[in-house]
Amino acid sequence: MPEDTLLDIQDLHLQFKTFDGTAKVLAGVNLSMRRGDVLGLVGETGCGKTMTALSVARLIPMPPGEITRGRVLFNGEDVLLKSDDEMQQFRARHLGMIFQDPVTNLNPLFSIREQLMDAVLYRQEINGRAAARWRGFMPSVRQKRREAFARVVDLMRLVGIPEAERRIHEYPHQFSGGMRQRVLIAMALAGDPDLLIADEPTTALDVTIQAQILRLIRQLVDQLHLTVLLITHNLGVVARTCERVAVMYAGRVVEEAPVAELFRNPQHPYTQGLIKALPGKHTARGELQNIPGTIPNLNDPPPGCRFHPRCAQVMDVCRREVPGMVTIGPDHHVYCHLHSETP
Amino acid sequence: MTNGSPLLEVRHLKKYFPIRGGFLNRRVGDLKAVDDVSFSVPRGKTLGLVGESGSGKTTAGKCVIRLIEPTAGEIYFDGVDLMTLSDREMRRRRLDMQMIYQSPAASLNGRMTIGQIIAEPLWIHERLRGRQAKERVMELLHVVGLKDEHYYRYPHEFSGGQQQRVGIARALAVNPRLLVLDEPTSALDVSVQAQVLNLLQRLQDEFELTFLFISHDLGVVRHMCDDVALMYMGVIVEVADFETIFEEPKHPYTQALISAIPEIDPAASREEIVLQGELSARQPVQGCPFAPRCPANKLDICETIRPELVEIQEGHQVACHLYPAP
Amino acid sequence: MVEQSESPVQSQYTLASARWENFRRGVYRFRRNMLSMVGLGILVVIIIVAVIAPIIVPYPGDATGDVHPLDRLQAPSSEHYFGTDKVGRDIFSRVLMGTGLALQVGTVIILLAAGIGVTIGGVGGYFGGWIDDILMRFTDIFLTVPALILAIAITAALGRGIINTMIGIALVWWPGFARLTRSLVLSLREEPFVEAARGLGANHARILFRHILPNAVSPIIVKMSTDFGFAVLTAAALGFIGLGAQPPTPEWGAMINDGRAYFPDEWWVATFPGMAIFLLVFSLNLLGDGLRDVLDPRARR
Ligand SMILES: Nc1ncnc2c1ncn2[C@@H]1O[C@H](COP(=O)(O)OP(=O)(O)OP(=O)(O)O)[C@@H](O)[C@H]1O
Ligand SMILES: Nc1ncnc2c1ncn2[C@@H]1O[C@H](COP(=O)(O)OP(=O)(O)OP(=O)(O)O)[C@@H](O)[C@H]1O
Ligand SMILES: [Mg+2]
Ligand SMILES: [Mg+2]
Repeated sequence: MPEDTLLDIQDLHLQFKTFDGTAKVLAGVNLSMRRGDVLGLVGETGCGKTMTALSVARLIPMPPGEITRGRVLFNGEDVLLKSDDEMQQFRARHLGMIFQDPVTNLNPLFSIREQLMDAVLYRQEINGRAAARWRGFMPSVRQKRREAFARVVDLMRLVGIPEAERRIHEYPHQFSGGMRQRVLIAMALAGDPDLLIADEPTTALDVTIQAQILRLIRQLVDQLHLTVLLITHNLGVVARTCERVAVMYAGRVVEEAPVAELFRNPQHPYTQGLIKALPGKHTARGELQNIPGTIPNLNDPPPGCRFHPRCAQVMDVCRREVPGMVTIGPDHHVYCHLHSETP
Repeated sequence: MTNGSPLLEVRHLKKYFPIRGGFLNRRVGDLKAVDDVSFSVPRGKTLGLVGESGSGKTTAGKCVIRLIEPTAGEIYFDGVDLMTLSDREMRRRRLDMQMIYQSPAASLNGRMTIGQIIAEPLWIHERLRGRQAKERVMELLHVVGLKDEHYYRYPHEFSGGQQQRVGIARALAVNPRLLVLDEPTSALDVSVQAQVLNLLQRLQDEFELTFLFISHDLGVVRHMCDDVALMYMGVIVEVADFETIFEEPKHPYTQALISAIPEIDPAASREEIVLQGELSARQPVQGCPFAPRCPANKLDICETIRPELVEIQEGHQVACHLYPAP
Repeated sequence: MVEQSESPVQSQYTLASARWENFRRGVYRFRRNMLSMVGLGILVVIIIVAVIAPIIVPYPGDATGDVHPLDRLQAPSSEHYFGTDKVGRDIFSRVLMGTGLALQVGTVIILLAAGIGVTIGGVGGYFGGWIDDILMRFTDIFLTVPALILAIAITAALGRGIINTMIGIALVWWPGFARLTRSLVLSLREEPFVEAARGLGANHARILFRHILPNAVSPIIVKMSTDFGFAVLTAAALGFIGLGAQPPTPEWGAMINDGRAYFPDEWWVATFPGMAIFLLVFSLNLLGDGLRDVLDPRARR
């Protein structure tokens, strides 16, 4: 493992017990991120993008969820082995998360200031506990609040909310969708995280607002040296924002490559299908390519490569064996038997 | 009613929603969701209505088939002004114009089976039921690429793409001539979107349908539409055929929107114009509604006079002071 | 060119089997909720008891007028499990024999109240405007007067007796259903599938009865089940002040009323009918919670 690896997910398996049986939602996810990476995680609805992110933060509801195999190494430590207390500290210190829907993630009853203050004070509390014990005194509550307030205003400026001192006293409903998303980003940044996980941060937004938010994320990456895991189903968003991209299908990563490389030279049949399904400039009438079939039932997933029932180039081995990782070029990996040396 | 006339012609359509507030919830103002919009759709063609959230696309689409009552305007469908029809006449007219909704799951009654859902318009308009109705429903299921066994299932057992197909089958049941498609694929994944778009185009050719295609996704619009109308805060700011819109956009808003399409082809993406600010809920009282966000060099009159939609070329209309009428 | 499409789960369904499948899912969800299973269990026992009471109780005559002055106010014993009351009647027999009456009272009250309430609330919510205003003002009048007092007044006006009690209570009970139905209809009215029905050309009756009300059914049934217990309780309260069932009918409320004078020394006279009421109300409330999960075919888990 290279020195500067921040996050390394290895062979992660996650399942949910339901009425219909056991849904094998993640079946061997491999993903690694270096410090400073901006990695896009793409895939269709239900393929497990959110679940992968939630596993890193250990926020999967258990039960019904259960991680049956795998490791999630963060800075070389396995997150899955931490106690709940350690986990809380870990989340506060190292992770920032933004979720898809900015409306439901802000409490309509509290002002933006109160919610941001809470986020900041909570982080201070967790980070301060050790420090305070060391110094042998606790800073006064007033002083803490003053510091927190200054930090909140800084954060609001950082995410580009104009007139921060005034608007901070407003309530979520007085903010537009784009502004709320900025607040959520500010909240995620409250603890100076090493890793920012953004789960579909622009899906609910308009194209022009989406452009603003993506530009903001890029800016923050340069300014704060963040590492970002950007989850989206929009390949265009990835092209605009990320350096590397991982494509997921039905609970597994199927291809991983630098952005330009992936779009120029997709290797997995699923990735190729996805790219062709986008209406491009010169697609003829009625002739959009689509990937035949539908995503598999995760209670009873196809054996071997999970994509094989929909794959035009399916081989015998695909039905039997899970494809391993094949390296195609620098930083370009694909999980497909077509590329194995010994099929 | 010659064949040369457009199937749908909308003139000066307005829809104001009351803004209530203050003491006793009085009407304190109007939200001009659609403010004096005119367009027409030729037979068998597709007009794309594009704009950001809240620009009034859905409202305009629903007004056109009187699903919501317009505040003012004329809507000529095949030469007849729909606004002059009584409720009852309008109900009977509905077999000519149907709508496909943005959220496929929410537009299907979860307590009815697929068979019952598709048979409903057959009963309402033709009093078909029992065996006859079932045969027609089966036919329609096949037309949209579903199978016999789906007849007895409930909507929640289907994927989004299949639910949208059910919606399309229901709309086709009465042989409509106009389909209003309100973001029919925005809830779907790309590969499923491709299936539904292909289906729509096939049906359009087969049944000579006319589409009013509402979307905020310019990539999809480029693929689907013959003409494109861009809406911003309740007004149309630019209309042209799709090639002109994409190759030579004139209005600064159109230019920004097109530059913001997230293209994956590095060759296709152009210099990104990031607009400042956001769509606010209410229009400025006077001047161009886009003026507060306009990145172009603004003229003085932009703040004071609302620009009219003027034809700058054959079939290309723009509402912007930078392009005065020739 | 016909495109293919695959169903998420390949199977040959028929209408019956689809219904059966949904039913099984419902049962599964219900069973996941332990407390509602407990509620259902208690209720089943209560219903069985109601049916077989005349056969199993030791002194069936005590429910229909027999008196045994010599055995009055005996403490619970192996002969009289729950003791005897002031005229020597076996309380165990009377409580069990009263079960059927309690169930009947609840059923009638709830059906009447729901019938009136759903109609008024549904029509008001759907049409809105002045129709709604009038109907809701009317409902509010009922809501502003304390329910119990109003029920007492109505019953007193109609005359004593169990039938009049039920009518009286139903007449104060419907506003709850009207309010609930109205709020459900108000939100369902805006649902896209209702608008879609309008777009198809459906008329008002069809929209209200085919589309809106079927989707409002679950919360209404849940309310019916939770209210059932309270209706019985209210009937008991009226019995308690002597308005409801007349002696010697073994009505639980009236029995508690009888025992009041002997509390706490002869505690059993009032306690056992009270526990019977408690059990019934309790089981129905637990059951209501579980029904919420069952009745929604979309709530998949
Ligand atoms: N509590 C749960 N019980 C059972 N299955 C679950 C549960 N939560 C999630 N799943 C399943 O896990 C799979 C992966 O879900 P996930 O939310 O990660 O998808 P996603 O890739 O984020 O999709 P989207 O683009 O829709 O957000 C889905 O198929 C979903 O049905
Ligand atoms: N029933 C209503 N009452 C009041 N205001 C409404 C109503 N329906 C829509 N509006 C308002 O009218 C404006 C236009 O809404 P509309 O739904 O037509 O936008 P849209 O272009 O379809 O947006 P989207 O892309 O989000 O669907 C919005 O500001 C909206 O809040
Ligand atoms: Mg997700
Ligand atoms: Mg809309």
